[in-house]
Amino acid sequence: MVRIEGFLCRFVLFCCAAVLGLVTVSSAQVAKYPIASYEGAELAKVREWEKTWVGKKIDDTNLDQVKEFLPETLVALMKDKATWGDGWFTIVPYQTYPFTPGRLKYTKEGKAKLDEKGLLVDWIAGVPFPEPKDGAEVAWNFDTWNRFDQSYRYPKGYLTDGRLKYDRVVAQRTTIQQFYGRLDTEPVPAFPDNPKGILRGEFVEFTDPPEVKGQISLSIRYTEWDRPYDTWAWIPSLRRVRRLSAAQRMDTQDGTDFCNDDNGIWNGLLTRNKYKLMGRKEYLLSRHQDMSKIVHKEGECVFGGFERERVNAWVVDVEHTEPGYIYSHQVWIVDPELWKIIYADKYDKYGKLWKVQEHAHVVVKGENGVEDVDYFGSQGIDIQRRHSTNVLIPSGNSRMGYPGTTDYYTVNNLTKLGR
Amino acid sequence: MKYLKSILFVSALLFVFAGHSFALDLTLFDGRLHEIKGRVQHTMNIRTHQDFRDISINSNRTMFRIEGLLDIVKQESNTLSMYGLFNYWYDSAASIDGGLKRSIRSEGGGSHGLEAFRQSNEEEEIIKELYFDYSYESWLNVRLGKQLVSWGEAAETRVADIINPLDFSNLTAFPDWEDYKIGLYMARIFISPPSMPQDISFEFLVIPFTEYDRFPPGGTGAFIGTPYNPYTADILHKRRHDYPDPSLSNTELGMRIRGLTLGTDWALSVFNTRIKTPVIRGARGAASQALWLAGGRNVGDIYEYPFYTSYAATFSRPIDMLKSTIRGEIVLNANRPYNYGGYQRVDKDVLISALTWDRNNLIPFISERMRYKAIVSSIAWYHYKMLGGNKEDGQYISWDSGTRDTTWDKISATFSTGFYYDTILPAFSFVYDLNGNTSYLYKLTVAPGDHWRYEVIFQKFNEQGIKEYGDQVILSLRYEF
Repeated sequence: MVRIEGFLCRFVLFCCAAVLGLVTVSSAQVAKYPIASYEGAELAKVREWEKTWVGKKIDDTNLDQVKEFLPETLVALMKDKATWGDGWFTIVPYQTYPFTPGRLKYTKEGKAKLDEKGLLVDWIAGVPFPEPKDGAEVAWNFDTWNRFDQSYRYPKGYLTDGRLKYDRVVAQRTTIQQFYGRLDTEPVPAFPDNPKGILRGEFVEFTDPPEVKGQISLSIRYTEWDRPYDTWAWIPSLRRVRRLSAAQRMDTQDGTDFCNDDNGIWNGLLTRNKYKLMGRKEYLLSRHQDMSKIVHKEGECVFGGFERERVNAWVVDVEHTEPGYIYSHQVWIVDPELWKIIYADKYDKYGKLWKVQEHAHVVVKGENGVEDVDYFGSQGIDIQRRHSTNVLIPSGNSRMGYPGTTDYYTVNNLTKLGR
Repeated sequence: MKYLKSILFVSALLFVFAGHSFALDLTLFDGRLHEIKGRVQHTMNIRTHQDFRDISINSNRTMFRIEGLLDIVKQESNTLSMYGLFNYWYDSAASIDGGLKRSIRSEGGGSHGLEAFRQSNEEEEIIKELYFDYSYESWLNVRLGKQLVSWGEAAETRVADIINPLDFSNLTAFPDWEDYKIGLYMARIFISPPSMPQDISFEFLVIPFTEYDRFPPGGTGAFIGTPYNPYTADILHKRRHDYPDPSLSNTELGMRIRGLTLGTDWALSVFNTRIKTPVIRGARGAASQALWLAGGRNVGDIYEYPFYTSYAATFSRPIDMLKSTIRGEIVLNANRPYNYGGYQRVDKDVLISALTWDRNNLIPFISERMRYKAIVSSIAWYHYKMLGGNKEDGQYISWDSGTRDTTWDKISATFSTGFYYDTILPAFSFVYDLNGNTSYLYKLTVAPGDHWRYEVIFQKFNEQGIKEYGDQVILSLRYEF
């Protein structure tokens, strides 16, 4: 009888352990996602703060009252209005971003990890590390960010001389298609016929200034994460496609303040840097921007009219390991829901602050019927030379989530598009 | 009066466009006419050396150029559009420089030469491109009409890029190739089958209406001072006269296959073409020429433009370790006719190879102060070899340098950069000819805004034989929209 009781006891214990184990395994397979910036008591606290501040215009006169929520570099720019212009903003309530069905599905099912070289493996689509443990995982979350699977954007911008107080113009049409890691536009999660292993293709056609009008570049990024980009350019005066070296991405582009690596705040290979997670910090960032409210005055390096909301962002210090690289390090402020760099400070090779970049984001409904987020405004300021490169996408100058084709992102098509 | 009208026309255009902060964005044909781009440019070529002609100003030219794309049909699988590029210029140098006027009158055919010098007055000169562009899905693209085509990889010298003839009347201020190529009426067909291995695609050219190289009238010194012989006007006239009429048998044909293998862009092409600058039609042509130059009339054909075939292989690939791009091409011009150094025509195979090294250079210390604006360099080496030729029996070529030999080598290099956000753009380039010549130029461009560009160029060039240099200064003012 004692033996039977002992057996029953062990059986019950075994069953409990098995059930507990299954629950544990099951919860390990399905990642916790989505994770909002604020929930529960934290959200209530933010809402309470918003009762005081939402709708208020912040400028150099009352900046000190909210400066704890702003990057120090932005505070310095706003305080020195005579040098940088009027960078006023208004505070809007915190809202979560839409988590698209595809992003939810692939992030929850995700089994991505980093291999011994620090490269992303077993990633299909979505956010690879929704609960990042270190800076590298935050960086990979950004690097795999997918812009509506397919997008067309036609920003117009200003190259502003803050000393002489005048602007020059720049404009380019950009078409980007994700070949792999697609979320919500068929085919998902990847184009079936992709023998070259293309991650994304990008066409950029310059329309301003007139000197470069008609120049078109094609860039291909591959799913081999450490493989350099392939880049070609159509040069109208030569009526030819020219192959470009993608290894040289740090020289300044035309008359702008930025190099190829600066596009989208960071557009280089992640393998060239080391990442240190600095933790989380609350910031006022532009996440739900009404673009009609952004104001640019000729000769002013900063935009006015940003709409900023509180968000508990991730902060990553990025150290550049490539010898002779133009930056020593950068500080990225990364959105915890979108996993995109929203604000960055960039330091020159002597450790002195050189450039500041910030994006303004808009939630739009794509042609695939899915609401998602992209940046429609960008300000980039050269602190040392008092110069800026700022761009805005006017209303109607974009298309998102429309059907794509792999044949479009080819050198043959580049030749066809060129005149 | 005509010049005055041109100035008024240009001023009116500037008035219309100057207020636009962004490039021309007119809504024409309900927005179906787009990609409009153009420029108004004035250049003045001032000779800083003198020869027997006593010319001070080689050219004083105002040019207007405009291009645009008109959408005709835009459906999911079919698109049809029309592209046009037009160019008009008026050169008043002969009105303000007596030496130039006298030279053109005496060497360029009198008033006819002066008229040809003064403005673009022929369709070949004014319509650079005008073609219908039809695309079916992503694999077929057909372009019908007048077009400029660029094959090959080399930039400084044409090696595989021999489709369009050149108009040297536009060689005034280092124009782009498109400025002095002559458009040809042709059918150009691109076929890019989907999912082809190595991205292989095909291109076909059918050119029934061929053309020949054009030259400015005698007495102009071709804008750099090289004198013609006294019969230039007659020779140019006769060359035009002797060019064959368009016909099926005169049609030029070309084909090119392109692909991307192991990170290298490559192309193989073949082009059956006539030479663009004629040779004398053997002993009969030589006799006719002698008779004609002695005052005879209706002496028959002197010049001929025989066919030959050009085979080319080109490649381009980045070398990431060197942060560079290498471009190369090798061309066999099979049985190409020559008769330099005599009237006897020589048909020889000539092999031409070119290797170009492009790099964006960031130089420690200096580049930091230039906010990491690269010094862009492009260095090319060209090698020419006449196969089976020898100097002893006259089987040689008189190369561009004037040297008569069976081989020829030259190195060209271009360096350019931008200061202060590409407001100040210096450039330097040279060509070192291993057979004896060096020419070089300095260029300084100032682009203070989005539309205006001011340029000063100093050019030293070989004029009348090896190491007999001439030089000139070119001033250019350009408004782009």
